[in-house]
Amino acid sequence: MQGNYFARRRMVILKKLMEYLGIDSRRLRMTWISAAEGNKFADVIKTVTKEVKEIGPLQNFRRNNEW
Amino acid sequence: MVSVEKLREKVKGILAREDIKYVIGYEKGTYGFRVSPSFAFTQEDADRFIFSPLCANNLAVYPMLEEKLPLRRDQKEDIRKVGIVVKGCDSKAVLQIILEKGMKRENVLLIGIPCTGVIDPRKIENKFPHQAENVDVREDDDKFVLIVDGKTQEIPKDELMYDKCIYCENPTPILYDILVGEEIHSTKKEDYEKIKVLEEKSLEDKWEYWSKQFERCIRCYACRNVCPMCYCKECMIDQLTPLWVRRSRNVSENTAWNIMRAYHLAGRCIGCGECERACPMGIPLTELNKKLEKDVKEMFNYTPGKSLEQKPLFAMFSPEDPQEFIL
Repeated sequence: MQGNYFARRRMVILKKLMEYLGIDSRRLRMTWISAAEGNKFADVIKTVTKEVKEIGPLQNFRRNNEW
Repeated sequence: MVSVEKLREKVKGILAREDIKYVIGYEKGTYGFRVSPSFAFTQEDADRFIFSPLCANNLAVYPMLEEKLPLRRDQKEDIRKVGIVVKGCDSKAVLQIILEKGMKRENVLLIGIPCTGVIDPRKIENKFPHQAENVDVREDDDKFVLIVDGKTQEIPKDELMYDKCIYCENPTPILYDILVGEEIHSTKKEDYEKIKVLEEKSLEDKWEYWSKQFERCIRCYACRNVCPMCYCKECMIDQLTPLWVRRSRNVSENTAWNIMRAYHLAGRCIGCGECERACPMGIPLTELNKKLEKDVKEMFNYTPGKSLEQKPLFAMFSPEDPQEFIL
């Protein structure tokens, strides 16, 4: 149980750091879902994929083949 | 600034003791505005020690870099102390390492120096480029006095001082065993103005700024090696299985490395600014570290390297932590 709270601290900092560097922070999502909440899990995944599709692929990190 | 004679005398007194392995301090550099770290094993070695406004290096990194070889069966561990000459910010680094159990309090002996601000080598080299001879710098009230090309120059402190020193909140070491000179109290306060300006910009502008900075990174890892807080036995960047970040030098990998470095220092970085000083490409790494410092201060009311009583930031939590980002 405690692990969730430790992770919460880390995630909020990472989210802010992403925004500071110019990466859309919607790409990182933290949600609390119990093992019994199958429907919620499906809903969250659906909204995340929908949202990320809207933002489009992250071009900043593309590796160009230079050879 | 403290008198050098007093410092040498104190160091000699320390080296005369049985339980001291060596003392780390500063000595005259070989060229320009450089000072070198110096390791004194005997009392004669202590005569090389100096302290001037040029002593910007954070010496807290050296005990962490020292290689500890595995012991043979009949060997006993060397538990003698290591003496370190520390300024305000260096003492914070030592404190944070002790807090994280990176080293033991009883294994270090801190010689505290109340510091009134050190010179940024970049700023002074811009002002007086191509100095082959070693130059001595003195401090005189609110001016730095130096002799360059036979002429005595007096320069206001704010022009040459580190940015971190302009906002320094702890000029007197927080943790020390022996203090050389008088305690100084500071009324300055960090205002994070630069970071706030950058925060306000749009995502595209921010990315443009940072990608331009990270593009220049040559991945020499000097920022890691010089950082007193980077003392992991095996750095993630050195691991081959799994290979977290590729070796190639492009924006993608460079950004990954720089995010990783900054994020691992979240809530641990004490803001000595050594990473930026060591960076051969002049990437403003303190802007990254300061941002994390600011967030941590605002959200968790936590300042790294403050006292030995507190726990490391990520080793504790409170039910009242921010959670509006969790959907």
